[in-house]
Amino acid sequence: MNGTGTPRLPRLSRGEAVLAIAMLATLPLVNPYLRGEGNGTYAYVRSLVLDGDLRFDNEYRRGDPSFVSQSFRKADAQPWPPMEMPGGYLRNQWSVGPSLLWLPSFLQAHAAVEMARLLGGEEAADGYSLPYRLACALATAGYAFCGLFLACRAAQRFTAPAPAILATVAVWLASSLPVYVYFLPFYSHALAAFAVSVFLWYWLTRRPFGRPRQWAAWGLIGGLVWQMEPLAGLVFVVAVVEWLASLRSLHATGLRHAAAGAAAFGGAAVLAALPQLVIKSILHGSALRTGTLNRYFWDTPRLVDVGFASEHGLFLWTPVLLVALVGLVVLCRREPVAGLGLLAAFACTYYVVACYEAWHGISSFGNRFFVCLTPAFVVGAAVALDRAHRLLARRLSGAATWTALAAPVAVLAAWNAGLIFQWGTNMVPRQGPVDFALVARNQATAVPGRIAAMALRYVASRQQAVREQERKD
Amino acid sequence: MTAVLLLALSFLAVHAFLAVCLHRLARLAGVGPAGWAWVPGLNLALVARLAGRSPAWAVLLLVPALNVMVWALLWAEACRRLGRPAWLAAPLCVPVLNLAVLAHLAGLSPARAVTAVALLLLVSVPAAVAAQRIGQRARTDAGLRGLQDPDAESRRRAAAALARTGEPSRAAAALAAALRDPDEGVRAEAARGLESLAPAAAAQKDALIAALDDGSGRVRGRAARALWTASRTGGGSIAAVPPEKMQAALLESAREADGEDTPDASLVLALAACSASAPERLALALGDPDFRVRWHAAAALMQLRRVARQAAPALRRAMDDEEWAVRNAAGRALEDVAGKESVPMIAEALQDESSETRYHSARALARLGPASAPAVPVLIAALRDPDWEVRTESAWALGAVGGAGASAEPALIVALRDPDPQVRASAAWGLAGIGGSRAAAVPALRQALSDDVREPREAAAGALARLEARAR
Repeated sequence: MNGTGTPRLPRLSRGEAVLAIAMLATLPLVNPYLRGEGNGTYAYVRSLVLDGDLRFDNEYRRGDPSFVSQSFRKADAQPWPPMEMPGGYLRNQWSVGPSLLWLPSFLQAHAAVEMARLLGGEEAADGYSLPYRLACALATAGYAFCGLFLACRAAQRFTAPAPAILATVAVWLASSLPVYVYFLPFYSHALAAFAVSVFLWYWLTRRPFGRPRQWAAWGLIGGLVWQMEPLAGLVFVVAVVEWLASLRSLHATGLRHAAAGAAAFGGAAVLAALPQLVIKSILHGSALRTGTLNRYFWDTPRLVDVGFASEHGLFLWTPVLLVALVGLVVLCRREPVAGLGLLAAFACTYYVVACYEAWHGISSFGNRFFVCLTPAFVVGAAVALDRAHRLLARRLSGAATWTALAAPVAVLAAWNAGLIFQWGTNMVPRQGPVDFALVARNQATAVPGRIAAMALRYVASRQQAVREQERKD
Repeated sequence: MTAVLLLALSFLAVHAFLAVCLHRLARLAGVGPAGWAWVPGLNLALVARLAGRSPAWAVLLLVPALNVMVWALLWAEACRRLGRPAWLAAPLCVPVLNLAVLAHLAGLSPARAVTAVALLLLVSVPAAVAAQRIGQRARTDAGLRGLQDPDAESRRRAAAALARTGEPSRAAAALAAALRDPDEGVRAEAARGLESLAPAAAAQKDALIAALDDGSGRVRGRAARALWTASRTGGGSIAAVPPEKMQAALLESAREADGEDTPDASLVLALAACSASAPERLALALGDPDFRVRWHAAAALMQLRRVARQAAPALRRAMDDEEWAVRNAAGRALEDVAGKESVPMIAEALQDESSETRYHSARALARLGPASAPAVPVLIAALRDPDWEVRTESAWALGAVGGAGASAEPALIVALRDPDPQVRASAAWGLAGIGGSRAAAVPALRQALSDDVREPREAAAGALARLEARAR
């Protein structure tokens, strides 16, 4: 940012440039596979742009068989009663935000398809043909990479560039994020991770906020975050921590100034969240009715299960996040406000997920509800790696130190790739508990052979490979 | 050809405008080579250079979503380097507006820039619109010619293509004429095309009504669907068409329904709407040799609910159908359709050897509420059914019977210890429904408050609250 507040294009260091190229090189892996709740998330942009309405009957019927049977009765193909809202609309429990982020790409794809049709092309301008899905899926990947970069930059506030870049690689490849970037890009999680990245990057690189204008800008980003998925809105706790920290200098600024900051943040957040508030109000009769039918049991949180159950336990499935958590604790000692803010956001999310009826995420790789906290994990992992680097550097040479740090990251990434493969090809169940002894056996025996065969088919006849997998799903 | 030329003219006009502006900007900024402005692809690299960045940044403009962000940031940098405010990057991301801003950056005053863009649009927009119209007309003309082809296959293809020409009125008129084609396939394709041209097809209602007398079931079916769709999309009423004719034709079209998991939703609604006054034909269709007809008939009866109560015996028979889809639709339909006169029949069905039949029967009795009182003994027996879903629904049905089901209290108390938590929860609600006694039901429900599973626990708490409220 410059003095006028306009962001500048980043000057990339060599490490960052290599990371950017590596990320871009993985774009061909993105699978424009519209399934599950992605159907509901994508329905907003498709219906608003092409049909000019919020009636999702036609969109829902285009979903995968499992999604269709959740929305419509098999007996007569009419909506299940809980799907029907008083205004005649169909319930849509998913957030509007992802559609807002897909909008530019969707419009670009629509313009391209219309242009092609003008020249005699046959591609359907229906919002579901390959150009639309590809544009939006690539957009998800683009946003996710952007989010990782912002997280990397934010981490560099606390560490040298190298640990921050290594931490970014670790979270990029060894967490649940890649599943929701490459294989399920129409789920909201990767986009929520991007929005939270912008939110945390702005905070960590600008704090402390002196003027209400800065609070308002932060609030606008916050409104976007809340629209991605309501759970991501829990990062607002960071704003509470920052605001409480700003009260320490109350004698200098005055209570009025502090109140103005809070009001600016809240007002701007509500303003930015208007699309979601208006659309939910039309669909469900109230701006605050999200449409979800699941319940929360506030008095009996599944605290241990969320972290360590074989049914998508956060740290068991994606152990890199445990390293990140340790890093956040270390950060609390070095930069109390930043560390406490990030830890509080994690703790709130953890507790709310633990109280949620579907705490395991149903069909989820790892615990998908935490993907939105990706930038916090990048910062935490960077701090942990930085600390480890300092400890090791006392005993080892420079190259040996970095090898010692990069090796576990590589192992975690390889393990994660194998686990993703097992999960994606139904070698382990998508829902319910998973036998980790079986996972380990598969990793050593079945995965290497099958992954090579699958990769060959993915390159040679990708469409067929994907169709086969869709049938199995 | 004319269309392509006009389109090319439109593109060239916009491209030339952009190139002149970029060329001038490159000169102003001293960035080169300015000639890149004229080459698609390289012109993006020139924008990167204007921002003082490597041309490699242009690669990011090919990635959806990133391209918008990078485009904005590149122009923000470029504006700064040109000594212009960085916020101009925002309008540079908005199509059309960006042309005016670019012209302004290249040295024109705002008024002149707007005028230049207006002149450009005056040339390119009419050219693009004309190209589109000419293309549509050419496609319609080709379709019309195709319909005159002596080869039936060509006529079929032409009829299919006419529905997508973008000229609905002309296409609908031509397809209406094709409804009299000697070839059945052409007529069927024409009727299908008219369905997809619904609002425009309303003007061809007479031809579609005439097609309901076609010798081919396929044509009659598709014509009926086109008529129904036209009437739903504001194309006037179909009240003049005898409902039995529509019904018969729609049932014909069910033979062509291609849904595997669910029936055709709009066909189900159409059948139901046309059958409200005469559901008997749907009941008869439950005996059709084609399972898709039986499936859609059952699904349509489900929409009619109690209006079709006389179809209950036919639905009961259809619950023994060899196809699961028909059995499922008929079972669900029976739940909604059956009236109290069907209770003895349903009670008998609750003892059927098929667990599906027993399940739907229990649910049907639950819907009938107190009218199901004569079935209480059978429902009590069903609490020991080997299928947990039947036990769950039976317990629920007993609760729906109310006070008349008091004799079920001991069996429901036993069901509170069923191995399945759903049955236990349902039994708790059943006890609340029949008004369980303070001496037996209340202690059993209190014991159920310590159930291992949340659902039965919550059900027991809810049942106790209901019983206490009733006692007060």
